[in-house]
Amino acid sequence: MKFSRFAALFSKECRQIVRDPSSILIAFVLPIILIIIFTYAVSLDMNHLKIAVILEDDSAPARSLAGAFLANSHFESRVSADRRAFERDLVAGHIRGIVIIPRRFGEKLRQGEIKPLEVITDGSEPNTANFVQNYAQGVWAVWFGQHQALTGGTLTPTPDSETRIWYNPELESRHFLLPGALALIMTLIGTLLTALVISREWERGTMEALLSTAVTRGELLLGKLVPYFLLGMLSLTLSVAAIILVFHVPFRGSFLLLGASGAVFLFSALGLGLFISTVAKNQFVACQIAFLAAFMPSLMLSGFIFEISSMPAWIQYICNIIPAKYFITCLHSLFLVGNVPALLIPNMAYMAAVGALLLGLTFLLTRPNLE
Amino acid sequence: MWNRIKTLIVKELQILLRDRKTRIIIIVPPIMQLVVFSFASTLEVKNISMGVYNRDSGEASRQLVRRFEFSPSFIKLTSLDNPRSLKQFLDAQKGVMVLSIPDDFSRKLAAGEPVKVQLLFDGRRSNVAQIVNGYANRILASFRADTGQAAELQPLLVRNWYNPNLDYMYFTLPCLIGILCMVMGITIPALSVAREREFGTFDQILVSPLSSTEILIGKTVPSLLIGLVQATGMILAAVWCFRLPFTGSGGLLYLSIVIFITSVTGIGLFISALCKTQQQAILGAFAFAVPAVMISGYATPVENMPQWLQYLSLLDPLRYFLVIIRGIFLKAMPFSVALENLLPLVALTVVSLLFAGWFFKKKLD
Amino acid sequence: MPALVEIDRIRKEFRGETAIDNLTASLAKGRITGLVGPDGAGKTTLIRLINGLLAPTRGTVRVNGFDAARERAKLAGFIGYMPQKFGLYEDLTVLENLRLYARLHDVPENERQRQFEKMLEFTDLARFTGRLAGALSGGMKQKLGLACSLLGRPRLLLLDEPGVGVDPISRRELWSMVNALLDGEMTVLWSTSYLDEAERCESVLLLNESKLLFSGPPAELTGRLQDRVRLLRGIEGDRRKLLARLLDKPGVIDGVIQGSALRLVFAADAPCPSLASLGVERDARELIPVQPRFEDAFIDILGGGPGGRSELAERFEPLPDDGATVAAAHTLVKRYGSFTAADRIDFRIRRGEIFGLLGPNGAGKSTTFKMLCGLLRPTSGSAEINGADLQRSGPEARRQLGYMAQKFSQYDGLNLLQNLRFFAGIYGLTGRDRDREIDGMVDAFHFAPYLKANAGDLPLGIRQRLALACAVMHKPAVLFLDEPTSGVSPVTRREFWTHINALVDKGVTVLITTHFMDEAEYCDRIALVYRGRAIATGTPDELKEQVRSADCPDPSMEDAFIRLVQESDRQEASR
Repeated sequence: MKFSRFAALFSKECRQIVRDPSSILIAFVLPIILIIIFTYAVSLDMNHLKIAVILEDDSAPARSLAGAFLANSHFESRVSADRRAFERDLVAGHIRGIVIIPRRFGEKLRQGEIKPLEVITDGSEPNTANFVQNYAQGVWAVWFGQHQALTGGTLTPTPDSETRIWYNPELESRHFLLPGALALIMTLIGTLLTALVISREWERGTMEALLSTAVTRGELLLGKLVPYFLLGMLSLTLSVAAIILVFHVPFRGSFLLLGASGAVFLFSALGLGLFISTVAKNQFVACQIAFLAAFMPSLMLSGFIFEISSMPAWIQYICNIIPAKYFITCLHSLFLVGNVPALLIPNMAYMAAVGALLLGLTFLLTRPNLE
Repeated sequence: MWNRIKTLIVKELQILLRDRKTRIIIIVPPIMQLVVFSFASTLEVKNISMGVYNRDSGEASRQLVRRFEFSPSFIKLTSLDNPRSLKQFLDAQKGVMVLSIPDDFSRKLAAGEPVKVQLLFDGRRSNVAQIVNGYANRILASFRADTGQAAELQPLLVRNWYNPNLDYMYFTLPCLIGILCMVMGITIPALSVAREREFGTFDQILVSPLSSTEILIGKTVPSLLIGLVQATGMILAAVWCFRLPFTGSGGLLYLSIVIFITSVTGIGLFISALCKTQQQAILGAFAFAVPAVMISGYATPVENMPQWLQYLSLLDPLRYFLVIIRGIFLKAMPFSVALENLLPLVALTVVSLLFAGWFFKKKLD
Repeated sequence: MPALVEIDRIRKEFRGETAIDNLTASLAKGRITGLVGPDGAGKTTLIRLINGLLAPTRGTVRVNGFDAARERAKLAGFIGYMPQKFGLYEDLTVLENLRLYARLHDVPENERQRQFEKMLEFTDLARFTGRLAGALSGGMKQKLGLACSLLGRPRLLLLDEPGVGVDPISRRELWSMVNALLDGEMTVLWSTSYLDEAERCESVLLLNESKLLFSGPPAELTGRLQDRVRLLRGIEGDRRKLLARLLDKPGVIDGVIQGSALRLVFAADAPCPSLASLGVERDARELIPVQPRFEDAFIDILGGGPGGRSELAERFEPLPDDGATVAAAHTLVKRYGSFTAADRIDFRIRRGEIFGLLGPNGAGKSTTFKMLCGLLRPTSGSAEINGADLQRSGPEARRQLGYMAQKFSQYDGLNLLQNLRFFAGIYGLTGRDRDREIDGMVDAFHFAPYLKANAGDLPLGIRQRLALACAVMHKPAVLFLDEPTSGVSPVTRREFWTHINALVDKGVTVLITTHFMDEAEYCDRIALVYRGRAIATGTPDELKEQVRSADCPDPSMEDAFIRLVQESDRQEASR
């Protein structure tokens, strides 16, 4: 192990990164695109739900109820008297649900009898359907309460409940999506990009020339590891700055710990990337494996969007292997809660262990010759 | 002409399917991903862990806690005995919710006086907090009704069409089929052209009597064929293994798949025309595919996005295809309705292929 | 003479196939040893074994007393190695590549600057230190590669075909670079397919089919041919037809065209040849003895060159001998920004002519070539094939054209048969026609044992044959060959020329680029391209005549090449 040889490989790799537009694209442009998308395009909170309100009854209470739906900020409602007109819209996906205020609704209400509202949702998007159902329930409950109060009201229901949301009182989903996106960005740099770079050296024949010099495999691996590590940290800094300064996600932990957890996660991602690239000597296979083993899991199985505890047990086992899951937990806490040692320490230790394991394996599998 | 195109197609397939390893890479991962991710990608919230900070020793509070305990959504209740442990509980993500009951709960309830319980949520995952809040309030409402503390609120008569139990997989499976088809449909042609350019075989094709239209068809059809095989594999897996209902017309579905894959292939070819190396093609395809998935309406309904993104999503073929494939699987979508999404898809296909063809011609320089 | 490298009964197998078989040899210290042999003989494998990049299946390689494979670490810095596909980073500049390899070779900091200066001076790359390696010409790349492997002053230098794809001037420079460094200190193993280079080595190792056929000074091998080589001069009529006839005569083991004459090698047991014994009294005037060359000896020890019959050309229908202009360049200009890659190139090629484009690397040959076959759009001027501009006319015009690219561009992922089928298919051959043509190619090029082999795994010689087969299967009227014999051994090259000659005889027109000056002699006419301009056009003899002078009374093609380029440089400088 000699520093000057490592330094030579290091500066070579840096120059290559700077000169290839695609690595700049992945390290700096795509992160910004992802951040913008997760800010604007992905929101798990629903507004602007398009629904149709079918007014089969023309009485005053029915019209007042329909008015409540029209006034609700979650819904964009259209009112009509005929339900058939909307069935096609539901099939086409133009509306997400139909609320039907049934015939003789007002008449029955006056007799003290309540005819149930019918709600038809588009079950092909269950999440949206749930929201339609819950919001409709809310509109109905509020309207009913007001109606009761007007018509000689009853006492407030008890026990009443008071809801307090800690850490993210505005319930902004981007407050947890954006920090989570950091894990995705680091996976792209750490695994996808590095998986390609060693297979590229094999394909272009530069590996043979490198192997014929005094270089050792430790230097070879470090020469790849360190530049991409720095690139990843740089991209992390840029992304964090964008998230906090431009998109105003609160940050409550310490930057030092954020840097440290980013570093250990990057370490594990780079370990995986280098491991893939020693196993696959061509870029097509390397990219397929990186996509399958790194990108998709950190999108789907990391708790980034989908709640791990709701998944079947066998998938939860898979999730527990994935370093991104541990990084995302750290990120959520650092951004929204603060320094929570009980979470940060074990999670960071796990990521470091995975990185060390993968790099160790890579070291063992890297051959110092052409055999 | 047909013979020359056939030759191109055969060559492309031979290269893609030459050995067992690549054949496996093309068929197995999509189905594997379909299985794992369709189980994983659920926005339902189940198996919730919660904390209970009960300062009241009365019977009523115990009854309330028992209701949570026996609810199928909550599987693990942890008793907390002071505010510090409560904070630690939420901080360390041991549970998403804490039910906090005041010490005068039973007394006031018995006296018919108004009383409040507190529901504290971990807002780190805001959507989970919201959903759990809904569950908790439903439990509270039934508790209220049973103890005669409130007028009964007539529940809504909800019917979830196409998916009565709101099974999340009904949504995920068709979407994943579309997404996986798109990823393959972009990467296969993008890589194949980049590889030919790196290895110099592209020049060999350009000096042959093949016209640029023929080259274009020769690159499109193989990825279409492979896409169709993959799609068929995934559709069969969805219907047989996951019991996903199939209500629409198979012919219409395949027509849409053909148009969809052709349009993404055109985009893949277009990307490859901009790239010099395989690495650039891979990363370029990636840089297109990830945002395309996100704004397609898979992650969040299109109408929920800001206006400018909605306009942008008009250029996303996946947006149209997801509406069609979900419609055909679940809603028995008739041709007339599918058409309004098929037409833009056809337009995108034509434009992307024209662009790719134009670039091929221009690349001569 | 102490041996620096001792190779003791080594054997190397790859997946059951023998690449090196029971080879014993040694490299003398401070000497330059040539490594020659036909394609796939095992040259690269031998070099990798000496380098320790591969371990022998049996036997040992000792370098300076150390086991090359097992004690590789101790040899670090001792060996300089330049692989065939040298690992220059194309996205780094010349100086950055030098710096990288200097540090990887552990050149001390204080030493570095001095070595860089020396190397830059040596390679004449000082002007280009800031240029990306990918933007260098082929010759400059090789020089830079050599410079990189020389950093750290290795005691043993292993060069794997450094001259492939390099023009004669750059090759001479490479050679003199290495020789200047030799000074008794460095030992060099130089693998090459240019046998004139091997001839200049003090000793050669000749490999064939994984075995060592000869080891010793080249003169020893050449000496065996004393009095067996003749030049046939004063030929009337078609020298190509005559050569084909003579090659099939018993006793003639090799023959090549040398300008207007033929150079013939006779078998050891053949009676003393005469015009009469060859039956060419009416075709030629004299048959004079000439000095044998190493190449003659090489062909001889491998059992002679191929015959004069081309099964390939026999499949072609003769084209009318109408002397029509088949290919023409009309003041072709190609500019990239301010750089003019081709400047007013102008020539016409008649049917049945072999037209050679010669020139140093980066002079504009390939640009001209690509404009002619429609791969590049000229900035101004036009190129015509059979009267049609390939840029404008449709695919049908391209059917008349066969193209063999500089680097192997068949599909690595397909096997040989699939490649043939593919190229038959895209040229519109179908059904029985297609099968007949493919069978024809398999017979003509003896592909039968390789049909199912992956094209990427084929030996270089077979790959080049496959490339030629793919270019001619549809029986084109014009054949574009861009360095078709680059890196190919002399035996395979002779086979190529047998085919080309016979095709031309049928009326096919050939446009060819090459760095082998002996191949330039086969051409009817040559355009010498330098700095984007055609600085000389004419028959090989005319070009040689142009540079004849007192100090060079009998110029070779290589002399002509070098002097014409130098002359052009002088004119440029005086302007």
